[in-house]
Amino acid sequence: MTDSIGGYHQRYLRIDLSTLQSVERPIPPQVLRAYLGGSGLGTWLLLEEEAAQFDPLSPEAALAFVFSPLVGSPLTTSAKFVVLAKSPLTGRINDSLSSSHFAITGKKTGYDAIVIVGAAEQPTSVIIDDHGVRFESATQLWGQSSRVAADQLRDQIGPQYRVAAIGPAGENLVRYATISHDGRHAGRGGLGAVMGSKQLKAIAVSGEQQTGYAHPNALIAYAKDLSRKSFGPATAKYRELGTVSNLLVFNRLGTLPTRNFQSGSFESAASLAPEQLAQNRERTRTSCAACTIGCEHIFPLKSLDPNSANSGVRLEYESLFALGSLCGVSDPQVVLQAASLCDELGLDTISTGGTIAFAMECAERGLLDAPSLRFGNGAALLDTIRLVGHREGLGELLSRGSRAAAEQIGQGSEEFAPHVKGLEIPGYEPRAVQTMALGFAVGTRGADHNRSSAYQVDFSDKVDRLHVDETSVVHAIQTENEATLMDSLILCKFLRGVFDDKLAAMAEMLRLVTGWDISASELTKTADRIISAKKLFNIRAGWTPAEDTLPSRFFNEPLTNSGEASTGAILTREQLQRMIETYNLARAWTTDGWLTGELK
Amino acid sequence: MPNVRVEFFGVPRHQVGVTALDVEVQSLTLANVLLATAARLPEFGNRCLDGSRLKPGLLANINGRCFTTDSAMPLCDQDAVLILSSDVGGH
Ligand code: SF4
Repeated sequence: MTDSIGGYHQRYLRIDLSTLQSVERPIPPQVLRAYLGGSGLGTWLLLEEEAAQFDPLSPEAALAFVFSPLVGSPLTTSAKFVVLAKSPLTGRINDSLSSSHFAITGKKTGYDAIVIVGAAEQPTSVIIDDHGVRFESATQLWGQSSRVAADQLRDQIGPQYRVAAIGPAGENLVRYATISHDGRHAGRGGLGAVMGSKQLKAIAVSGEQQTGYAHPNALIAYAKDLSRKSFGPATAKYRELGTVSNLLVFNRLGTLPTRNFQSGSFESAASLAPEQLAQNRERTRTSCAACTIGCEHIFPLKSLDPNSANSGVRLEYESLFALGSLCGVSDPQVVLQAASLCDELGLDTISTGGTIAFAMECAERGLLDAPSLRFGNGAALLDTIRLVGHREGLGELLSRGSRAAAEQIGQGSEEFAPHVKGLEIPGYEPRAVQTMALGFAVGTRGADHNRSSAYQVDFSDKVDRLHVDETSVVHAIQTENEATLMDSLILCKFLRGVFDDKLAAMAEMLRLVTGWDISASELTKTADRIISAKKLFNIRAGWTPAEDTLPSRFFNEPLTNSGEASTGAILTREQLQRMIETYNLARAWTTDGWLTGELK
Repeated sequence: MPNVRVEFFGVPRHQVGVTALDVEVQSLTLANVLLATAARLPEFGNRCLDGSRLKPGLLANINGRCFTTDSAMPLCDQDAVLILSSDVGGH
């Protein structure tokens, strides 16, 4: 065994579901330093597995659960893990983050990552603990929601296990199915379908294997100070209101996608405000494990079933916009029920809302024979979500996402299918946040706000968000680099406001955990390397420059009905292309985005 | 006298309990608008201002377009000043 490095086990577990065998494999120290953990290390693992060449739903496809050097440490918000695979929705690399006890306990199994290949012959759960790996039949769990399946599995094997599982949508290979743990979801890109294709219902982890830390006393002192800062004003929004408070701000700014991106403000936005969602009953607040911020707000939910008790549903801005304004739905209870239904079925709310909103527009234009599917029809929204989760009727077409649906519907619908690389666009109107538009276009996993975080540039004094040009690229690269590092260390992005100098802070945390004397400039190179490695994966999977763009709607239609702030906003193809070329050159790629050499 | 509409969103709205307010200001700068608002709404002064500046964690936006924390920012009659949490966006 090589010398130990704080924060790492320096090995991963590879499980083959076809042979029901597992092996431990070492991870070289230079790889850990070059790719850190989480999203970065997972990208390296997928390249090692040559995952780009396989159909994402074939037995050969690799699925990686990756932990990080910081998880398990006393640093607040570090209890996170990443799931990676080639996405069945996009055909490109996909990394989805989730949180809480599965991250902490998963790392205590003694591995920095768990890679799963092959496919089981019958529904199976994988159990990993200090005694090794075993496989249990999941026939009894098949068909259950991830929550019920996890509860039943823990009843069976013990409460010390933490479980990540799929719901019916994953079993049914819906291409935007989620993987869930404790009500939190690795949501984007359909990795639940990858699990489903392997007949893998659940992974349960338990263990006692801890890593050491290079400077434990200094780490504890640093962590205490960070926790103290996390109670401050930079995170007040998340603590007090949660991300749903974005809705009214975005509506005022004209950046709230409405009716499938036909406008940037919603006349009924006020009815979806947090106060309306909670109405007469109090919402409650909770948090991921090891988090001092606690951004999760649980809203009271009236049961659809008169025989069931009312309950609560966790709601984020992205679910609120996708199932609310994007579908023209103004009834807060319908939005909460839709979010709850997505959770039960195991569906990504952004892609669900995006694909159904697209279908609503097709139906309104007479391109799709679905008489009840109209913007604002909450009952039709709920019915369609059920059909998607079970791939029945219209749900069969929509279960493949808006890109595939548009290819089948044709008749010009491709122009307004709301995706980049097949991934539905999140809740930022690209014509009104144009640095974010660049981030969507060049994002390696498709239209994605979290990997790019370029909206931070638009919502600052650095640019005029309606007239962005090449000068914004340097800022977009900085936010993408920071996001890449946070997703690899891993730390919650809601902590970002507490740091005066994020790179210096991240370097210091890594030093305290690992002992590496690492500089901010080394971290910048690390971010560059990880982003280039993701690009390399995509090139091997068939990427071409033509897919780094936005749907034609955003070039052809000036933004209307978007308030005084954003009405009339337009993004031109040439403007975006100039930004993309500047971005590519700044990444040291060719003008059109090909890599220029080996990963450094 | 020139008039500016001050709109509150998110945490500031939660803290002051008001959605919007019109203030009249002789000399149109962001600082003067913030101080005039605090004169009308003491809770705003207590919870959102350090002197004539917004506290850390808060941000102003002018007419839905321009983001700023610069108290010297000149304003025009009939402008709207939005008071927001500084971390706009996020999932
Ligand atoms: S801030 Fe929210 S998402 Fe982030 S770790 Fe805490 S509870 Fe989880």
